[in-house]
Amino acid sequence: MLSYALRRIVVFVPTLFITLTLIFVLTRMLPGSPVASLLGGQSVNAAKIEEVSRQFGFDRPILEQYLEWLPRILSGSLGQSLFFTKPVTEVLIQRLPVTLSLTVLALMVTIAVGIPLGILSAVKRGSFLDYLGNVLSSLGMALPPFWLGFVLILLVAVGLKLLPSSGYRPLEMGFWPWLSRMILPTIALSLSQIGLIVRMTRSTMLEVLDTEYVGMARAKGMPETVVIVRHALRNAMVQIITAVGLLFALGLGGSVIIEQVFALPGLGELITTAAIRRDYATLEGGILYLTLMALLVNLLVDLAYAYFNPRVRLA
Amino acid sequence: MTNDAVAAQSASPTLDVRGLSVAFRRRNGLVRVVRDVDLTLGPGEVLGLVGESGSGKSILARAVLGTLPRQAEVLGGSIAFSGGDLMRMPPSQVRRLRGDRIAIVPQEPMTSLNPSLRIGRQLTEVLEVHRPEIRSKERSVRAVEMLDLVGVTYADERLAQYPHQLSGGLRQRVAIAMALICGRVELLIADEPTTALDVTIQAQILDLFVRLQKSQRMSVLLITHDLGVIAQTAQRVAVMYAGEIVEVADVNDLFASPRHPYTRGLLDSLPRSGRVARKSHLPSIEGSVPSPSAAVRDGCSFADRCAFRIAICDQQAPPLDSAGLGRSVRCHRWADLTAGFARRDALL
Repeated sequence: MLSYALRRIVVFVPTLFITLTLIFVLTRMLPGSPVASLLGGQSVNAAKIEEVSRQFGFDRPILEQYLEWLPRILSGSLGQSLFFTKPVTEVLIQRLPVTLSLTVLALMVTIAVGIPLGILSAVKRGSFLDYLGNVLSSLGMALPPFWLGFVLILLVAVGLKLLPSSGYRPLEMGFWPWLSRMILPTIALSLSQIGLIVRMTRSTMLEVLDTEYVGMARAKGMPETVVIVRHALRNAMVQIITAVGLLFALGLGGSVIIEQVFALPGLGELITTAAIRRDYATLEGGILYLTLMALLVNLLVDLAYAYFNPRVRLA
Repeated sequence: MTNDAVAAQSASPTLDVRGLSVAFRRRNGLVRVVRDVDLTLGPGEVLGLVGESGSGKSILARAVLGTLPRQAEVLGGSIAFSGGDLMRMPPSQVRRLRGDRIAIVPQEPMTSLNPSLRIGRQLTEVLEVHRPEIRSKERSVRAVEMLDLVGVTYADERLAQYPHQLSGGLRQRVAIAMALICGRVELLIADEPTTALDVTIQAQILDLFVRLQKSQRMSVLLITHDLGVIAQTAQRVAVMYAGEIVEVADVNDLFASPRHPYTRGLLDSLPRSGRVARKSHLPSIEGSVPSPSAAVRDGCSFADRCAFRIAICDQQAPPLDSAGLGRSVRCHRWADLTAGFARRDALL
């Protein structure tokens, strides 16, 4: 198991290298220069722009910049934010809990609602419940999360005045102040994910319930709950977990929009504004953090894979 | 008929299936796959159920177990097991019989064990459900004993292994151990237990079967399309064709003088040392089992493939006639055909 985990981690090295290169290239491909945007409102002349460019090294050839940039990033130094005038790492650490709260909560809700609903739909296939699950999941997948966010704000926050409409309170300020501001964004983000996981779980379970070994478990006189959980679900888990891992990565992307809708000061919001301001260092750092989170979840998925599938573990 | 078989039938039967009909629900209505089947299995008896693929053997077995697929529906009949009617028992009660007093050895050892559970777990969970009085430590001990009994080597190490680490033959042995672990099996249904194994392993598993059947005094319903397996293990044989029982006989009688043209065809298509010299081709039965969804025809379901078909075969379905002690045949012409076959065999 340990050697399997190590092998999975080694595989991440090229992935990380490619991701970093993409981050560098894509940020440099943005139209407009950071210097112009930094000097914005001021009346500037060409000499001033050139001076600032030289100061930050933007005038040097792109390859040279990259070769200087890559080792620096790898050593963990993300540089200085052009706008916050403090280290990028510091800015990111501040924003990280917001995005983590949103994505992890959404994932928890997705798992807690989606997987049981998918199992029930499969076990009681053709029933009213199956039909209801199907309608709900189609609806969830069809509605864009940002639109859902606005509707939730209108209905729950503005109309019923049950929950705050936006903003963020850190967990240190109390559980309820934190949670009350996370509920609506979490629902907005998780609803589309639930639809996907319900379908995935349902179809995988249907497949597994048809296998010989599930038939054998019934023939052995196992109670139906044991047949479904121990014999069917355990084998379906491999595929369900793969889907959950993908959803988390999608959720990170979705959080960028949801954070805008609910005015949550998270990584997504930071990345958007950094992109607009051509704040290269912050942009790169933010994307790097999101990428690392996605890679970490991928690793967890791979490990869970091995747990549920002995053929992977012992290979 | 042997004395054994007579004794088995006179005692109250372990399994008594009467008028069982099973159908599949399809878009265009019900399709009957088991049709009005009567089957009796005495205590300690091995009954072979033979037929081509698609003749309804496995569905019959699953009906007895109470694990029919969702699309299947029992249209009527009764299944008496040790006095009670399985068809009229609540499903939870039938479930408690399964794996305990009625067990099955599956057809496909490669796919019938759960790939993500250890062998030990798959064995002990049967005890957990049916014999809760046995403590968990003893369960593992019992699992090892069972594996030893069915000839699995390094039994205690196997408990921690997963199915993919075992060969097909070993997996089938594990499946047999799983069927017998509760120690009170009265009816064992073996659904093509050796079909998926290679020939040497087949012989070993059959030997094991015969040995266990004798030592555990259980009744076995042995489903197969392999007449060789039947000859080796069964005392009585029921031949199934297109969902119907077409002939029942003591195994020696059946091989010596088959009464139904279909049985005759099955036996003729077996390679035999005496015949090969005379014929270059192995005879086969023309055509194939009619699809159950084909329109139900009047008359005999075998008529289309039968070389001895006469007018009545297309008009009237033949009843299951008594044809001597412990024998029955579903054929209009069995009496005159038997005489004819006897003459032909004498010539050969």
